[in-house]
Amino acid sequence: MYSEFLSLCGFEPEEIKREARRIEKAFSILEISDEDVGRARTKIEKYLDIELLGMRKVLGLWMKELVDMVLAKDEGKKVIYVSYPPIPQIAAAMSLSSDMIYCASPDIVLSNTLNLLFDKINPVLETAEKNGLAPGTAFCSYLQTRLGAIVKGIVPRPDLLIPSSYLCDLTPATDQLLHELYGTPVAYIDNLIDEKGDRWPEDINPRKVRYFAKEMANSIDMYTQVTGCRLPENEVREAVSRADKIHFICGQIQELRKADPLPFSQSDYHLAMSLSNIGRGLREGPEILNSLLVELEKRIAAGEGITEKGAPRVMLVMIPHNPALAATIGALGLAACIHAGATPRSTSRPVTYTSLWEEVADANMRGRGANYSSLAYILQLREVAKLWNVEGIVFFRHYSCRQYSIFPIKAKEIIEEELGIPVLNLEGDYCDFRSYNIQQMRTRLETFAEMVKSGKASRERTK
Amino acid sequence: MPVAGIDIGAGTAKAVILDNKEIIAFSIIPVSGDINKAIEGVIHDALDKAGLLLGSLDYVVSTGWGRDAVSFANASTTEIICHASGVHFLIPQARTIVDIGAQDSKVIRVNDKGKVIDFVMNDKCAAGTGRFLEVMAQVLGLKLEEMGPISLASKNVCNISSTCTVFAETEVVSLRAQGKAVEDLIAGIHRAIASRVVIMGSGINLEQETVFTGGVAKNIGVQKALEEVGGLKCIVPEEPQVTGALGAALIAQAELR
Repeated sequence: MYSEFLSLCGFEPEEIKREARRIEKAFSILEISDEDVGRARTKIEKYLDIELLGMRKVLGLWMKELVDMVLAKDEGKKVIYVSYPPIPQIAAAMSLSSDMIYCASPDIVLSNTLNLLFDKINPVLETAEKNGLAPGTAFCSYLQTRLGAIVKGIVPRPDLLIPSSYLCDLTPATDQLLHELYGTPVAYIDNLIDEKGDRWPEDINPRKVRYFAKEMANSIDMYTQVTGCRLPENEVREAVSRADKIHFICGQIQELRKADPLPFSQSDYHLAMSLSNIGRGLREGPEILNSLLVELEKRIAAGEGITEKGAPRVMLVMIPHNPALAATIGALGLAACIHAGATPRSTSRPVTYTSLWEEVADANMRGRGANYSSLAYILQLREVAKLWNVEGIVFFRHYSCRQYSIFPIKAKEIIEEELGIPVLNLEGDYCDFRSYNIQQMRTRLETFAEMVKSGKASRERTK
Repeated sequence: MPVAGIDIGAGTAKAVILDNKEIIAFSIIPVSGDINKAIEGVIHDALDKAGLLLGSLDYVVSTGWGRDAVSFANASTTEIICHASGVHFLIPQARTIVDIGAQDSKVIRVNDKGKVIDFVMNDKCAAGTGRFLEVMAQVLGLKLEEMGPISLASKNVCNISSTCTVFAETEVVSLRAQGKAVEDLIAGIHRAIASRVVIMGSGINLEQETVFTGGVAKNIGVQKALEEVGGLKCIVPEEPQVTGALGAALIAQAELR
């Protein structure tokens, strides 16, 4: 058994005992060997903040979610896959609706476990490439992970697919392919980001809100047809409040990341923050995140951190499922202190919407610029950069994504001109590390670090 | 107080020895297989020319992709920062630099103090680098240094549509078989490199007066193509290959102050 590895992931001894059979079975399906577990241990020890028990338990939740997903069908559950990033309210409501429903995005669960920890995603990507998602056809590695894992049989074939197109129009295309392959029903949630968005977040097009709301309501109808379960409004609201609780605690953790020295890395924060996307996170996450918060407060009170005091603060917009990038940035003396999803100002819901799904639609598009338009996302990032007073921004461009490969070019132009701070665009892939490595980016990152330090010194001189 | 800068590139190793802001010696040698041999060779060649011993250097800064292999360096930094520093020393009015080396190409924007304010870099693809020229020279059965002068005789520049080294090779072979003149082909090859670099640099506003450095800057044909394609006036330092090593030496000198 892998008890040392599981202890590293915050499993208590009785949990290891209780879960041993399930874990062994899931690892066998995933073809995770002793060697893979050894590699994962090395990576965790090298890159993740396992000094914090809360962080180890966050890792544990991701491992448990992986096992839950792999065994969902064997354990008699109906399986629903949403897209990544999901519409969090829908994913949360379905995840929590019944013990006999498993709902998540395999894209993110596998990326944060099989890829990030075990380095075992290549066979999945290769399977996708042989089954319709060839490289270079704009189907990104998240989608290859989704399709490849299902075709390879390491995750169960779903009973229902719920792709949303408000961030990516190729998830629906991938799910259409899965429908063609297996006849799986698909509930498409259409809402392409076709707004100019220059008045985000004040002005959110009401027509778009109503359309998006209707699309989500339709997907719930289909969910009921496929699973036989209803999703009454009170249950959805309860699930949304659970997800909000995670967002609230993560917001507090993010606030702690204002401390100098920086107390918590971007890679670790990313894993904690994404817990709102998975059932285990929604159920057990708040308690664990609260304990993490307390540990971080103690760390800050002791004047400790993970960077040098006074390290220039930068924003890292999106990171690959490879902690080496954030680690390299840290090693260059920069503090990556704020993430791309941070909300710059109050985006509270207006009272004009009274129906549940209209509220949800409005909150999604108002809460995060990326969900509304590319320009809105740039405006959001610019505001966050100002609020956090960062000295530079690194955009990690996901080169197989139509949105994330393009908008950073415009973002660099706008942010450099308006804020006068350097912006570095790195090209790579969030999940596919076959054709590049972080070392290749070293010269660019080192030069960027020098620019940031020199800019900071010059600003301090003129203060 | 002599100091040295060493730039270990993919094709050549360069060293500059500086004493009180005066270049007292430099050396350029090819890097073949054994990187340690190239490092030893280039520093000792430069030291011999300066009449110095390694122990007499007060500070050494290394740069280039092989910078970490220079065991006797006191510090290392990136070639982008070093090129900016070296070019600023030689041509203080320079604001943009195009550097084309064996394995990568860069466009660097600097301020009036020689500090990097923006840059773009191609290090994923051989097109737009010296390697592209090397492959084309082999295809045409020429020496690399012959390419520039021959291209100046071109009357009807060929259009090399592909800027991928592999596909361009096929294209050049095919055009040669069609009887196109060698000088027209080479001029087309130079134009393909220039187009690639100009497109890459367009995002950071290439100034009309741009300093052109790196081994490829020794090729008059590429210089001419950059001027034609980008509407630039290229300023090529007397020894364009050592600006990175010079910048490293200047950084070494600054460290001593």
